Amino acid sequence: MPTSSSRPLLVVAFLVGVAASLPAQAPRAALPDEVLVVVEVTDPGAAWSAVLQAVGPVPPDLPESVRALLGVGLTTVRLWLGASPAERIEQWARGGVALGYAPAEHGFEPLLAMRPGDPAAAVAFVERIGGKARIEGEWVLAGKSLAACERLRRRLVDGPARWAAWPVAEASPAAVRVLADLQRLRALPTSRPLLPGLDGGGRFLFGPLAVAIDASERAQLELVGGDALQLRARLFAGHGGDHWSRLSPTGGQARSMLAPPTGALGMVALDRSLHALFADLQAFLRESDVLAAQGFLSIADQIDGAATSFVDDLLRGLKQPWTLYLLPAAAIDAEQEPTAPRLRLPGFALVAPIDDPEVETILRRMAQLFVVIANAERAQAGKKPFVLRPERGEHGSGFVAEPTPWRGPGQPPVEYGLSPTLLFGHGHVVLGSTRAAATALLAQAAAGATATLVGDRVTLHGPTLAAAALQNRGPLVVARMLDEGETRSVAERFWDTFVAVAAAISVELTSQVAADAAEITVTVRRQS
Amino acid sequence: MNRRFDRRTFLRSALALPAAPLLGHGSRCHWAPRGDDRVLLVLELAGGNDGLATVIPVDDPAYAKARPALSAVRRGSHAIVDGLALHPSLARLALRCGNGGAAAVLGVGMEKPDRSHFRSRDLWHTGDPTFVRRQHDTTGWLGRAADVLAAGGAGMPAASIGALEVPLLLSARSVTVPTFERAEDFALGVVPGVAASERQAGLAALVGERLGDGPLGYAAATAAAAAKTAMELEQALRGYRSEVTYPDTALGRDLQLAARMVIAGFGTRLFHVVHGGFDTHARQLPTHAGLLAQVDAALAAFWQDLSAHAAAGRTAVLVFSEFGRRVAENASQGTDHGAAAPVFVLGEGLRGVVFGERPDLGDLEDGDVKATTDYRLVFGELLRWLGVDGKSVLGGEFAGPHVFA
Amino acid sequence: MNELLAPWQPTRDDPFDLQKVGHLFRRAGFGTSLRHRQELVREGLDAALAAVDPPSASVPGADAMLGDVLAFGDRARVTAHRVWLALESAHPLREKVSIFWHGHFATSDAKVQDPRVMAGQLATFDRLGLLRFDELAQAMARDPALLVWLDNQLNKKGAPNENFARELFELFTLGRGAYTEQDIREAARAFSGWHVRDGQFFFARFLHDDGDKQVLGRRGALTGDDVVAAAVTQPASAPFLAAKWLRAFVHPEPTSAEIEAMAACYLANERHVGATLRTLLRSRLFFSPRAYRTKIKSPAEFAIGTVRLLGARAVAADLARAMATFGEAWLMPPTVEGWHGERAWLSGASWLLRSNWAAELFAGQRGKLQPTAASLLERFRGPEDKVKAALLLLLDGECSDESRARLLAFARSPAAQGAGGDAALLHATVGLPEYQLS
Repeated sequence: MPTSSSRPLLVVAFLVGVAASLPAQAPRAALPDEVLVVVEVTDPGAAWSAVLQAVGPVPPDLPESVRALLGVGLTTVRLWLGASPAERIEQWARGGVALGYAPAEHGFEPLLAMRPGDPAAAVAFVERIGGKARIEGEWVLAGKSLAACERLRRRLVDGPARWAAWPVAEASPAAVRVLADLQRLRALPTSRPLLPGLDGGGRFLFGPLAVAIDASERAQLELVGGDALQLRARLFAGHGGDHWSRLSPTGGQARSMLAPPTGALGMVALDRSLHALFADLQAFLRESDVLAAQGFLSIADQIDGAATSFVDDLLRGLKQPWTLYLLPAAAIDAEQEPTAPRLRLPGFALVAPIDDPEVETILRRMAQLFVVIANAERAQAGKKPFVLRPERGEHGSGFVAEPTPWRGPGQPPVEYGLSPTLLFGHGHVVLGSTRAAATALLAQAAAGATATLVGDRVTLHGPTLAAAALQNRGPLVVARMLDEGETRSVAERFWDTFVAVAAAISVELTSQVAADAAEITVTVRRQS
Repeated sequence: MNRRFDRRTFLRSALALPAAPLLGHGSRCHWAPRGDDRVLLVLELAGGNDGLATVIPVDDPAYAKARPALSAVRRGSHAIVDGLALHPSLARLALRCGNGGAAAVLGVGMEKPDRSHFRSRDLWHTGDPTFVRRQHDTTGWLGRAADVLAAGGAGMPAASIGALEVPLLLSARSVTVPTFERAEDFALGVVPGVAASERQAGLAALVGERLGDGPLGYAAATAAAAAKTAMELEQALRGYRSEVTYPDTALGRDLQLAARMVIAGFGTRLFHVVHGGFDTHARQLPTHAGLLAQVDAALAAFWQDLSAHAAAGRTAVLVFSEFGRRVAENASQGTDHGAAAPVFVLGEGLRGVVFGERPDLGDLEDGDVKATTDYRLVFGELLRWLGVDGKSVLGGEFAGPHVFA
Repeated sequence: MNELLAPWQPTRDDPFDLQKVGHLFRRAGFGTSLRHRQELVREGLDAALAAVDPPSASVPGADAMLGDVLAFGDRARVTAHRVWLALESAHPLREKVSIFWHGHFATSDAKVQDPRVMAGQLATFDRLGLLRFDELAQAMARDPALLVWLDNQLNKKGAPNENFARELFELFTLGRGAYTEQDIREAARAFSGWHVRDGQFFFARFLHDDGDKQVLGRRGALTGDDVVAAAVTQPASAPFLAAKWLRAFVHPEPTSAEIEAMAACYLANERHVGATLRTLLRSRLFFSPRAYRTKIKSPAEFAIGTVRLLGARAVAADLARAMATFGEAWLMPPTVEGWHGERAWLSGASWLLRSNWAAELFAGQRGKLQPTAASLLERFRGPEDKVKAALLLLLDGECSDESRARLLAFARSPAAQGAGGDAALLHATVGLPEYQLS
């Protein structure tokens, strides 16, 4: 994929130019009222350039065979188009394009309106892919049938209506935009509200969002290129305040969390309160899930004896929200190799702020009990116990459960790479899958290394993820051979492609659901 | 060792059985639907259902004393006989007790109960109070009954519904017991396409039965019978229409599937369904009430459905749990693992409402209700009703409380 | 050499043809592709025997692959890996024989709870399964999985546990009736202290009873090795094993003459299993009508065989799951007796499960069959040709007149037309009674 260094500049110039000469009427204005979903690009040329800029050059480490395949694919596209994509976009839709979907007998019917640079070429293209098209002034109107074209024409003749007046927030001409009339989509006989279909876990994670989707009159999605490829979805209703706001306690407020340590693979920070969920199960869950949760509580409440309530003492004392960090597996030298598991799992650490010292006491007791239970189960399977040791480090104290030294045969099983650790310090509790992971996060707390965020955020750092995959290449390749039926060479190519692509990008997902609006953004950024 | 020898002898004789009865010479094959066959559904309340809050000794002063908080469950309970009442959530079950459609057998358990969920479950499933989970002969009593019902043939005498894998209860020696969640799981599958129904018919017509009684004849007879039955099951299920609305719970769906198969007259005679969550160590009242309400609603719909299709008379249900709970409540308004407990038997025209001795809360064993009815006696009675020789299944004579007429 | 086990010579009336190759690969392996079968018919019997049992068959990178499989350490992957090995079949006979021994020394991970140790046992079968039986039996007496499975961990001086000794005689070497309870009690003492530590055999010297014992006519301070040696040299041992091999490779009900011949062959070969089986696999008995399609396919033979006969690839993990639902979960035999096999493999329910799995496999809904079933009959035109091709692919081109007629009727009906028609025809072929037989 060729990109010239002058391209960004071109794009900017293009955007400025387009903004100055923006057509008075957006392309969607040509769509009839019965359309319920619109895909619109006001300036396809600019959108294409921006996407190219975001995607960037082919990752350098891509396997040769994949590179070749990609080359063939691009050439095929070019041959099929008979010119470069940019030229074709210019010919077919220079002045913008809008694709609408209207309910039909079976599913939806597409209706297309474009303002081409070369109307004849645009008509020829539509007919080549089996559609019908007609030229109407500066417009080419297309659909599956001539009747569809006629519907489009009538709208043009009658003048703009519903879709012309559709409110669009922060319109960027270089965006691929999707507008949906959720209100009328909900009225379709096949449509079902989302919330009732979600189980307990689903409601905890997506409940507020589902409520927003079920309530919002419209949705707006935009895909924009540029520095990064960004998909942004907006709803113009939220969870409506009420009890769902208790589930996301910080709402639209900025909050602080521990910054991910250097080299972290990723992070999951959700603005959710388990305490709110468990304190009022009926408000959030279906009847059967309430029973399941109560069943869980009736056991959980017993773990630390009758005096401790899982909800009132433990969950209330742990401040929300909790954050999960993914960290690379510890480096291993040649000497440690034979006694380390062949599969190197990334470490994880779950962090929560605490302000109640009583919680620390409860958690310490529970941790010890847990190790006793786990060891009893291991003993039943003839496996050696994890030894619980008190840990007193620079930044805090707690427990580490370590496996008994491995005596063979061969390399140890995967769990020998774990040393479950519970540490307290600097107002935080950290549960780590390894001592190193837990310590790394406590060090962040000690250093006061914090980051600010709003709502939910999930980040994945491609290069470290790629390194982790590379470290486990052998087992991962075999897993694909056994689970996907691939030959060794195909499986190897799969992972090498994954590593090459992952090494070149980072991904971030953010989501915010407020009382009256909701927004989700997925950003894929090239790593330099 | 002895038992293993039995099994070998059994297998040898099963293998030696000529395939002749299977072939049927064009008449009904051995496991074609037989609508008049009796059906037993075993509903397991997993986790340890609190027997004393299910069949409540309402007038016993020791009850209120042992359970200062939890005895509140007496309020709104449904009397079935003098001094005993069912949990407030079990209104419809209590009604059935009143008209000979359900009975409680009290104090059911074993001599040496175990408080581990897993071990106790093993003991109930195998019907062997000395069972130790090891490599020999891990079959369940219902699975062994399935072996007898299949009698070396190729039917589907038993099915596990809703579970991921076949429970020990249904593990059999010679019969493959399937487990399924949807009726479609046991339809005759074909390569999809416009001609799907022709493919199904073609597949069913593919195997003949006239290929002798060697391995080829056996394979042909087995395949022919299986294809035929699967087709019949599907047609029967397709024909199933019900006015009954089942509750929208996992238990409701499982029981509806069982009802469809019973009504279809498919020939599956033993079912196992699990309903979990009864491990109520803390704040038992709301949880237990909710769980029992689900049982009550699902069983009521199941029975209404069977009655509407004239299948209730040949169906019985056993409701059991791996153990009851301690007599005394704990400090978290819950109860801990106990021992003997009542079981329910549902059917038509039962001979009584309550069988067995009432629990004596003044005479406990290690804080638990003593078993007064050996659990195998209940199994024996159910096997008798099914027409299966209980001795071969339970390894001894267990003539139980005479629940069925 | 006994008449029955004398080498079979192809003749004009009884040639080495597709049926013979198909039979050889079904019994001594998990089937092979039509192209390979046709090639071997041209090359002859010796070439076919060499293909099923190649003289040097070490696969480069096999150990590294096992290491990568064990990196996960879960039972599902170890099982899938065994299925993968059977699918790839670099050494078909060895894969088949290892699974035979898996059913003979039937050990279940349900109790062992360590798939890595189970994989070690299977590797022992790979290594020793075609060598001398006494060596294999000695190795099994030290196999950590088997010792855990049969409670030998509890076998201590002064408190013997008889489980291992009993099964050694009853199921592994002699069969019922060839030993006394006294033999078992004394033998158990010889295995006292034969324990497992850290997943490896461990001789707990102070828990071992080194007193005098009398087992199967031998006397002295016998050790476990002495007991194994006594058992494998007992007169009852050779016919016991011979019958088991005959049931596995030839016919479910061997005659006493056949057993005698096979036992003599085993002893003449100084208890060398490979030499004995190789004699059997080229014998008149093996290629006689008495053997042809007289056994019921095991789930593994059905599932793995279907993929291999079609010359295809598929997802090993999916096949392993399918086999488990049909009643054969490798690493999880139901009891120490192993799988009962034959008619117990095939009930109405299991036939339906087999058929439905094949429907989904051929429709591309599971298992990722490559090439797809739809593409295999593409180049044939007309129902007759398609039926002929399907029978060649899956049934040596041979079946009963009745089955052929019914299959042809299916091919001519609307069922075999339209999208998925070819896959439906293959599915129908797999449902035929002949296809249930090995």
